[in-house]
Amino acid sequence: MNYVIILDHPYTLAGGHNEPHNRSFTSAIAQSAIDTLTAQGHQVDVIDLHADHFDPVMHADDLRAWRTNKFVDQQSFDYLQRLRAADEIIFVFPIWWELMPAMTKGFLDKVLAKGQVTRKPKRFILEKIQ
Amino acid sequence: MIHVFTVMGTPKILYRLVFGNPVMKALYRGTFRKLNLTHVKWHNFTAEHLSSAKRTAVLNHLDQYLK
Repeated sequence: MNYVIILDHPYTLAGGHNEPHNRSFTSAIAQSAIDTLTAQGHQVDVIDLHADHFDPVMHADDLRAWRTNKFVDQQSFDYLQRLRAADEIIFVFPIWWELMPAMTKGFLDKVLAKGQVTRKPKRFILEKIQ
Repeated sequence: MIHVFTVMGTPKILYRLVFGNPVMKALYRGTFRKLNLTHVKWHNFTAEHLSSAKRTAVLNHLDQYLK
């Protein structure tokens, strides 16, 4: 199966190797998931939001296009294409002040653009995930 | 299937019962279910309070969460 892992941690995937001053349990979980799934023979596509320098801010142009038009931010478009190719999606992030960090929130806001992921009468078009 | 792995300092039982599990309300009820994505699993880790050996054990047995 084709898995997409979305990692949100400032130390990136490089923080998953238990090195002092650059270690994160979140990254370690992502790394362990990649190793586990690869060993099981699955395809793993890693979206490392901080390493990719993803811009989580919804800008005016993004919002104008959000409901009806194509993506302004090509990186968000690329991410959605990769989600569409996935059989399973894995989010990995820390909880800060009870919620997800801004990168993950921005990922949801921008990549799951209404004009791209919803259709009438059937409401959603990531069929493989359902 | 969508898996959500989170890491927090707050004990899980407190996060769910006292705070009301806000992250999964936002993700499951607020986002995925509205997009007809109903197969979502949440796996939470409170690593701050685990010994190094237990953290390693968690990482070595991650396959149990990915079924």
